[in-house]
Amino acid sequence: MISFVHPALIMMLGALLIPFLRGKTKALYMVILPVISLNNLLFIGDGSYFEVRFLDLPLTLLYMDKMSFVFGLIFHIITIAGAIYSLQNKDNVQHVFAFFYAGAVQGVIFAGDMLSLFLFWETLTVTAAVIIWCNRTKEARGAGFRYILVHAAGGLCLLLGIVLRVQTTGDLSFGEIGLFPEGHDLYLSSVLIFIGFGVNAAWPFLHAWVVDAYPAASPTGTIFLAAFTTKSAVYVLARAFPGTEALILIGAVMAVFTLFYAVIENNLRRILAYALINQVGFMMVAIGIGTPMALSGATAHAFSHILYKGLLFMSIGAVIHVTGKTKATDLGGLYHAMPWTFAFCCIGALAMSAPLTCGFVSKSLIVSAAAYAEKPVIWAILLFSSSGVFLVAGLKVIYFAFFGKKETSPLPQGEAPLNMRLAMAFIAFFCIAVGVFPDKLYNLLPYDVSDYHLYTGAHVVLQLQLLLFTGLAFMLFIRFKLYPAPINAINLDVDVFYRKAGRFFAWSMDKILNGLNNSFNQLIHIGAAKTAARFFANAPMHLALTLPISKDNKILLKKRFKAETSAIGLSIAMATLFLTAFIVLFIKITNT
Amino acid sequence: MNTQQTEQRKLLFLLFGVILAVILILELFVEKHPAFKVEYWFGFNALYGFLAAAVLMFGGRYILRPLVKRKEDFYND
Repeated sequence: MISFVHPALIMMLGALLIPFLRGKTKALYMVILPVISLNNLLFIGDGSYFEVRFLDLPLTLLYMDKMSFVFGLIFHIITIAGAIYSLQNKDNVQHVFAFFYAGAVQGVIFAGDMLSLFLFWETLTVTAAVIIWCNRTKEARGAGFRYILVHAAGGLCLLLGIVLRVQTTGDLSFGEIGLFPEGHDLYLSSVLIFIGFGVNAAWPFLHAWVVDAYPAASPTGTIFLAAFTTKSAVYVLARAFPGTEALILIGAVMAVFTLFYAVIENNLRRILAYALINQVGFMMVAIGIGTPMALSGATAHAFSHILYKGLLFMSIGAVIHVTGKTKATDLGGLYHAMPWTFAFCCIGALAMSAPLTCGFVSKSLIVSAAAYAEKPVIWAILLFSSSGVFLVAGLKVIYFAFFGKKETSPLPQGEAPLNMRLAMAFIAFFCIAVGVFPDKLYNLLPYDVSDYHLYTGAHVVLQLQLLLFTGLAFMLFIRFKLYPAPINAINLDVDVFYRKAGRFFAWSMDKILNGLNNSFNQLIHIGAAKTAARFFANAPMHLALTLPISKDNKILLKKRFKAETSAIGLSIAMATLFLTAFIVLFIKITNT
Repeated sequence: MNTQQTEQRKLLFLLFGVILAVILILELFVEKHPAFKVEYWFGFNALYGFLAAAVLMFGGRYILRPLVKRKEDFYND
């Protein structure tokens, strides 16, 4: 007897009630809904459940093991925090779709077959786009459409891969796929599935949607967006493509180039979005290394990353909520007015990699896994990236939001609403708790890491050296005005290709097709048609005048035609003549 | 900025300097388990962190920004 329901069900169905509730009841309901869902999750033991047949295909709607549990758990935690954080938001559409989105991601994580995986995967895309649109700005409208287009392309790629694979193997179950599977000719389908997942994992050249869409959503919507889509892609890649070497290169590129962008970016949430890609790069490297320790590291880092990136997005979201500003050039000096938000932002920044925080617990696993796998270059890149992400998402964001000098008019003052602060405190608690009790997280991981010694003296000291001297460099660069100052400008990223290409396409189509249209209009409509019309309008007269009649009669006939008093019969006779000619022509043409 | 704030600021910088020195010196007292030879070097992580940040800030300023900077209305002309 199964005593639980599918993890996606409670939040997706429960969301439908939200518009009917008001005030405190609604607030309470929105917080309790994910808690009930979490409670349900804890009842599910390892194994496969809800195995049904659909169109003669065997589906496994719920597959639970250690890895899926960790992802299911952290997605619930961030949903609870996101719900608390968005309580002051009155937009029911966003609330409902946030819970649809949260339910859909549970569906992706627990899908045991590729069909239900794909259906929930596409639900993610649609619900996320609606959440982006809920910010109701021109920017959000465009970003939402671009989000849908990019993910629809990725989704089609995935679908094609799945169909090809099922056709060859007859197996719909979702498990390890690998880029070079043996036995069958599965190369194409594997690559298609790989790329389909890669779009959601924000791989280089497929990444621009993250920095385009996440900063365009509302401060509350971004909390959900930043947690679910990329990290569910990390999960499916860890499941289907562990040890795929290409991922090491992909991840290393992600972990480096994003930092240079974040250094010069002006929009604080866009900086965080670049840092998000950077950290997903860490997870890609870990999946690519593919040792048990690395895969546990990827899982742990997804867990930590959702926490501290959520906290950073929440604190900057609170700044936006209070001041209405999001650019470094418009902000500064807020630590006085927003001490709580400032403190939570600092915890979020430290939690990326400082000892006694969650980031140290998880990132160390990946860096050590790279070292144990004897990959010195990758190890050096990860170290570089640890320093860099602390620089951009920690020091830079904190400095320009809470210190620095504001150049524009005074900002609206005040602290974030209580519910926002509570949500931040909730996540900050987890950031530190995981750091202080790392074994609690390590015990949940898919592969045993109990023999890993996290808190050695050397490890703590060397990590602090890395971070503190990064801080020293930042301080000196700011002091001597060497830091690339925030400016009101945008930085081109690869989305220029489809944003401008789309416009160029529209422009060229406009010029070419409308040009053709115009010239044909001139030639056919205005030119030929008018001539023909002129001829046919006076055709009866012209023809009648060819009759062998006297000159006087011809003049009379002309006058009658001009005065439109000529015999109707004559016109009908002409029309009949033309029709007959047409019919004869038609029969002749069809017979030959 | 008044003198009191300047004093406070000086004190903070001094404190930061002391922390940096302490964390460097502490390296001498911990037992290292290096995976790579560079980790035997004294102060490697400190230097690496400093250089990484410097490379990023110079790279962003002198290489990437001149390449990709556009006016804010670039996409809505």
